[in-house]
Amino acid sequence: MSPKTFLRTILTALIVAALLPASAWATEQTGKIRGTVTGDGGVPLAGATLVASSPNMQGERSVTTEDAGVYWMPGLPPGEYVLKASAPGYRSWVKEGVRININTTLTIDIELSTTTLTEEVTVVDDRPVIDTSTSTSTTVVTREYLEALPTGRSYQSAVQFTPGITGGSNPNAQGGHSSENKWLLDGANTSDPVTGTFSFNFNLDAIDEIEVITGAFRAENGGSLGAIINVRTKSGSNKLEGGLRAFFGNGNWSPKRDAVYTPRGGQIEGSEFDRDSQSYDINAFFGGPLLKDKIWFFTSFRYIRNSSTSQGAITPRVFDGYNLFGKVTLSPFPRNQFIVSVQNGPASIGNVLQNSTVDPDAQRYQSQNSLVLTGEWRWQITNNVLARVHYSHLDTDIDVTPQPCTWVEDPRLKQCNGDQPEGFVDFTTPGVIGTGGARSTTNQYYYSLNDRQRDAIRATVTGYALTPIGSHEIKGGMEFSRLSADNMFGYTGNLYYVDYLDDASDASSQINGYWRESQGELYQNNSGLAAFVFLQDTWEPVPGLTIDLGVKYDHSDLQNDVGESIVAFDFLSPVGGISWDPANNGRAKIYAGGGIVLDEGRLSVAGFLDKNGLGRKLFLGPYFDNETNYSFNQYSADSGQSNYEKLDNLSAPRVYNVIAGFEVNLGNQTKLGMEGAVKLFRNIWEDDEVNYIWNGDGTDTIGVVNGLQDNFFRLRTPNAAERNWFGLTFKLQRQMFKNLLLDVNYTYSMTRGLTAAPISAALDNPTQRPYEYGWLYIDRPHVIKASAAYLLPLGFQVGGTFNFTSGSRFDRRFTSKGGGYNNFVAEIGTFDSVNPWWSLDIKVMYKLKLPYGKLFASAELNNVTNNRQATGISTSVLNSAGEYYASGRQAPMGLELGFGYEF
Amino acid sequence: MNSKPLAALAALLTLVGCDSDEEDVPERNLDGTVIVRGDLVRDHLGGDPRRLGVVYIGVYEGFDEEQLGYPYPKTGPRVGDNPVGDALPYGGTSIGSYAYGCYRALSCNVVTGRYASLHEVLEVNPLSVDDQAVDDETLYDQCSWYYGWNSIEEFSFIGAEQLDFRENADGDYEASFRAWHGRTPEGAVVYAFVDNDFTTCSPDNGTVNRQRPYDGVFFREGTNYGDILNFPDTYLNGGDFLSSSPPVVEAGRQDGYTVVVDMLKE
Repeated sequence: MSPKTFLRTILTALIVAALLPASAWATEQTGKIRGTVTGDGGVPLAGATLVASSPNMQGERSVTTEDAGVYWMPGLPPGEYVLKASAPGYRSWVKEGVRININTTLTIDIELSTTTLTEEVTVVDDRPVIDTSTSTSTTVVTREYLEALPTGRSYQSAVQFTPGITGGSNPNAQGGHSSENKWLLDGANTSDPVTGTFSFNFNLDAIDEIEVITGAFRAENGGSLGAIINVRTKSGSNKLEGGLRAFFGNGNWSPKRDAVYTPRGGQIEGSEFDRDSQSYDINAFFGGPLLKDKIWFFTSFRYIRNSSTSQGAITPRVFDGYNLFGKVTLSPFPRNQFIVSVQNGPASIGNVLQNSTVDPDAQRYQSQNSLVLTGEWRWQITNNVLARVHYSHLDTDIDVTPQPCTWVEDPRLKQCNGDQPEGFVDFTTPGVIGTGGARSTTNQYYYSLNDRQRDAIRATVTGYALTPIGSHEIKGGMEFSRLSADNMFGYTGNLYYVDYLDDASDASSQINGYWRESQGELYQNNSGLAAFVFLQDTWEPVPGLTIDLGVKYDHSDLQNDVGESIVAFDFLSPVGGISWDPANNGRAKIYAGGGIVLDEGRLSVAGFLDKNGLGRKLFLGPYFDNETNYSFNQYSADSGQSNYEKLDNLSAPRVYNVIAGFEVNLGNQTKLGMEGAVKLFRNIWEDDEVNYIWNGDGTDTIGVVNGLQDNFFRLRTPNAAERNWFGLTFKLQRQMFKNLLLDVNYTYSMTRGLTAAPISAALDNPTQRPYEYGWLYIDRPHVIKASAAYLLPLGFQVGGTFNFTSGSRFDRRFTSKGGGYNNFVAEIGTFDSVNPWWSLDIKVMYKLKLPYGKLFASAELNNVTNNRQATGISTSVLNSAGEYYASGRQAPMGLELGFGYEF
Repeated sequence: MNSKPLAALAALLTLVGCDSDEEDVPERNLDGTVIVRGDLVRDHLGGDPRRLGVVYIGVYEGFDEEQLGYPYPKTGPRVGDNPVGDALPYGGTSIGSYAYGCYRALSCNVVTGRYASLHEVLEVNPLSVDDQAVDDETLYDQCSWYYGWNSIEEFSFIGAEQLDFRENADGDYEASFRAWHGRTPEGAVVYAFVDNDFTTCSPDNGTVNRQRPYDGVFFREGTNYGDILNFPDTYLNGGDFLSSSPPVVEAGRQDGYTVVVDMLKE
């Protein structure tokens, strides 16, 4: 194809894709193979035929080489492939076991021979394990990895194996905040439109691979300051498959120990605690052909229930939820594929408040649901042009209410009374909140009904062309996302009481303190759009050298509850990278890349300047006559009146990212690599509280501007709001080969800056500014992750993971004054960290082959050594040094037994 | 040479990574110096500047010497139980703040920036526990116990380098201030007063502390009230100092203001 024709085709396809009503593009869900076919003496062979086949692909994919013997085979679903090459007059060539991972490119150069025409050469040498064509930092958690290793049956936990990822289910990725990741399901953006966190749980048995991109994003990625986490689901195949799996977990059988440390690691509270912890997890999946090579389906079901009681809490917290997933893949005619899927996950969480001072009557209940609908069309327009369009709809409901009552006589449960029916939710009785050690009684005081939606329409076209200056893989695309969040909230009975202890040391000194009244329910609606276009070129000027260049143009417009544009910016971000395979044999690469990635924003940022938020009419009780109370700052007399002020001309929060590293194939499906990375986060969202007047030391407030007693916020993105991450990772990875799977990585990193928060209050008090830059609590200097699995004879398999993580950083002067904001973070004295933590998980599995499938049994032992982990910072009590306690509740040693049948 | 590609490249580079400038915040810092007359210190604080209380500086719309009978900012109307109306400051700050001196008896008595050493703290605030005078070493141990401080450099409320006031050639005491992040309209006045009797400190407020080794026994370290610049009259008592002729804010000038504290509140 001539360059002109090629460009015309690209342009046409882009226009076609953009005009489709439900067109969309998503992060790539497939991989590709490329290479050169040569004949005797290394002469490029034009017209050679390449055929790829796999159980994961409908039919076969066939391409022919161009004049220079070059072939390009995009859009291959991840899986094991057989690649065949043939040319008239040459002996056929076959390579088996070619592993394609999501969003990766394998370079396979083929030399055909004329030695004996009738024979076929089957190549059984080492399979390629290095994607030499990219500088992007990507980790793929494969299906075999998920099967063999103890992952807690949660995709969020599986993500933790990735280098540079720390934290919990919503992780910190290379210095990013937990709300700064982008969560994708089959490429569709399923991040919570309000919080930016994951929006649903999922059935692990329905997951094929998880792709985690942490650095040197291509132009097609982006919109996320942290990681891009893409869950790719199974699609079914020509072979019928199914299974039923059940797991039971028990965390009650081991001794529990509390983890409450001072910042210097000393334990300050008793070590024993009661914790009830049990779980049931039942899974079923079924997939296969509806019409061979034409229509496939895959469906899965999961029911999960777990209950746990934290120390001192009266009533167990009970999570009860389902996950339903269905996917149909159609290939009605050649070169076209249509995919539709639905995922639904209703769940409820009873007795949410696991606090020793909460009575069962005052418990909180949360019901939630997530619905994701996707539709995709992949169109291989020509051998060298692939178009993809994608639509996704996400709908998440999160409703918080008082706990429904029951007539079951059990003092641990909220009891019905009078003529209340079973399951009655009391929205009329005011609640009582306990503070400072007092008890919460009577009723949950607060309710909130949330509905969040995200619709995304995307389209991309990828083309491949040979030019006099090398090969180009050009990709262009666009995305248009609409986000909305409806929130209705109020106080039960439009009233609530607050009890407090008159004497903090005396529980009997509880006083019914004060009350507030709202004028009724409040409604907030935030909405907006995020759109972008991008263009990128993967250019291989000479064999073995790949240069990535790309540019992305973003437009964001997120609005507050009265329709004012709060997050509104346009941003042009360039990215680029270079990857060099010195020997041009696919066995090593040296790479570097980077660019600018922006935070496209979340509705919580726009909602920060909602006008109805403090529009409640409050009648202040006696407690407010006490001039020592700060809570009057929340008083607002006028309903619906803006108490805020916003500023235009925001600079988009962004990260400047540079990475460099190398990978070497050691043989036996094993690669060794090292990567250094820098992420400089700039212009982080900052809520500027402008009505306070601070004292000279910045330790407290001494007045309010113009007598205003409202929190008076301003959204800013000042240059000073920064965070920096520097990391060096060493990794050794071996795919399952000769019965052994191995993944070991070590990351040394530094996380410093002004704030670890996505919306910072750190700059509220300017006097702190010179001192605030320092270690952030998310800093984890040393992280080691080691995983291994081995296939034993007779169907046994053993796997284990080891995780070592440095403890959280603590500032010696991390304290809070006035309004609950953590304003004082002075770099004085030495810094402390809580103790490091390590854990070992082991999984043993046995599979018994039967005539029509396999019976399996598994045992997973988590936290084998029953270690304690300080997981957080206590916000309730400050110690005498003005520090928070590091606190945490050990995830106790737990045993999970599983059994099932699959075919 | 075809200049179009270069122009396009230049345009691209101009746009790259750029959007709009950082917002223009209307609030500005205001810098200046407070001078406390030496004779006030000599006559009413025994000549010991370490006894100077927290100095509060406010930027107010106006000044009125008549309404309360002594120099005082203009106020808004009286509301509720307030003795006078809100003085409605535009902004302000303080020189020094209340520090917890590691003993309950020192709560609301120790001001930062006044003491070079623990010995000086005890010299001004002699302290006894169980009829035993607390000495430097005991105070050091007590603070180390409470705060986990390992060296004298970590004691945040003492230090020769941290002293706010210096005696100038005229025998007055001088300290610089920066009123952060406030509006400073032309014609506003910069008013200051010194709370020598520590009535601006509330023992019921401040950081919650834990009485070691008893878990669950808490107390407050004490800190200033939150409306001092709004209602200075509430806190101005006999023995406090104030400025009788505050400087006026000039258009476009954000520094160099000198506030002279020259009057005793009778």
